[in-house]
Amino acid sequence: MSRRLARLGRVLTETRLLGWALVAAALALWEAAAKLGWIGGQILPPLSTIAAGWRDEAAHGALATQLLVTLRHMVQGYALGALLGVGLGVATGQSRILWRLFEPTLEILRPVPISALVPLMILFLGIDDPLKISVVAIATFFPIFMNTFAGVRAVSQTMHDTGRTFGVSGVRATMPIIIPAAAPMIFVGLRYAVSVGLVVALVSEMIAGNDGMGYFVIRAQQNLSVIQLFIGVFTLAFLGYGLNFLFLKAEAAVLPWQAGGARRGSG
Amino acid sequence: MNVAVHLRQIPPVLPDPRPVAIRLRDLGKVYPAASDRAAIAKVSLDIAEGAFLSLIGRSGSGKSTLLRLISGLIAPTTGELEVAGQAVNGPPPAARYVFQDYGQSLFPWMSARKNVIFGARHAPKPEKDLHVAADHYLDLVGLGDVGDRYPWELSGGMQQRLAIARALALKPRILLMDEPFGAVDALSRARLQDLVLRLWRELSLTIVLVTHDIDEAVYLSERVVVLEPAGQGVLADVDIDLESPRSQLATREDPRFSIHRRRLHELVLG
Repeated sequence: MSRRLARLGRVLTETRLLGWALVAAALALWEAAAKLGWIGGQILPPLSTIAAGWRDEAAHGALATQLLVTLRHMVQGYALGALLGVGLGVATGQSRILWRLFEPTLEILRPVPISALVPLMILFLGIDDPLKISVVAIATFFPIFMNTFAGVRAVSQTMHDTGRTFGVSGVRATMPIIIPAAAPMIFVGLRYAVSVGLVVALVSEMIAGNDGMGYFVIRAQQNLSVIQLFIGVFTLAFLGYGLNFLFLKAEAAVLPWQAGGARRGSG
Repeated sequence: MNVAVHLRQIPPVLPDPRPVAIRLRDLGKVYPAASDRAAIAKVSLDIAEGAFLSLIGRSGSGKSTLLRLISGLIAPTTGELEVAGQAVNGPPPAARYVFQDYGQSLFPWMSARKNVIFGARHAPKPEKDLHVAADHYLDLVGLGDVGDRYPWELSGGMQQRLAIARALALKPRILLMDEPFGAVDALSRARLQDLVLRLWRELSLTIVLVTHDIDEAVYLSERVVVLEPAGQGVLADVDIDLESPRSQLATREDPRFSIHRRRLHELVLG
């Protein structure tokens, strides 16, 4: 009997069974609550209805198109933000004079909430792609820039000196030493910026224009189309998981020594 | 104190007949007041080609500063410095520096072999086949079978061997080592000491070693230079008349080893 209990204890503590059971229970409760009318059926449709609607929307509706629009905004803006963030982070991290030059400007701009800038940016950029790409670029720039800067500054004196003894110093050390040494920190910024980029892409689509997943969700709400609303939310949840998953895969491929370092640290 | 004065009055040893590899004349380094680095004043030394010389002294004596000056990593405030016949202006190609902190000196994103190649690739005249050369130097330090591993997969002692292999891959005539065994366990330390002695003999290197370990200085060196406690310069210059090759047991049991050890202890602790 006690052996059986011990085995049960192991299953509960050492597998992810318990957590997934909670998720399944919550979903079952949702289905039951909606089917049995515990909550007003209009606000909370049954999961099965949402799933059917989602299949239909994915096959015939605008979902795929809008998803691709949001992805485009995100990818283009993120690429721009990452390029500028890593570039400026490495430059200001290496050169004290460049840091003195840019620090005040960046410190003034950094705390400004991007959402407050959107109405102003509409005046300059209109309500279409240039606006949304710029919003994503600005919002992703700062975390990437700051982590890159910190990573470059954190490269040890010994590592700089090692480069110098091999005749690799100053700007010439950037590619062979500084960027790889700072890469773990750069990736912290890049990973955080993925979720920031998704959020601001959606917000800007909700505020302006007539495409993208942000628009899809806000239109569903305005039309009181609850099923469409849930379809949008579920799609975005999967998009969020998917992007994070892809990012972790990319990080493991680019920084194999980081994975090893973490293993070593925990073991 | 009497002992120190007495020892300083020992007649100077016969001049070394070998040509000079490193020449210091009134070499000094002053740091800004806020710096925690040790300054060093007016050091004149001739280090012969093929010598094994250790620099010892208390913390603050400027022994690491002196080694960094020789390495060209820092510029002197006063005096002159020549390495392999050339005035030093930046790291001289004839000399290679081995850092104490191998964890920060080896590149964690490169395999052991690529770390060795990194040095050789940036040499003035790189070898034709860098991989073959890298494996040769990995073999030389006993790391022939771990070329594909990352530095952090290796023990501390193996990492410092790797750093030495990387230094050797540039075919230096001079090796400058700053407390290279300070961060490894006692057993690895003894093995690393014997490895360095073997490389010194087989490759006819000139080695300047900074250490705070007096036993290590006596065991490894032909000559030990003791620095004044607060960077005032050279306190004593002692020849170690122990036969080469040395042995961890026989050399350390030699009565002369104890005499040198005692003498240097008294000089350093004053």
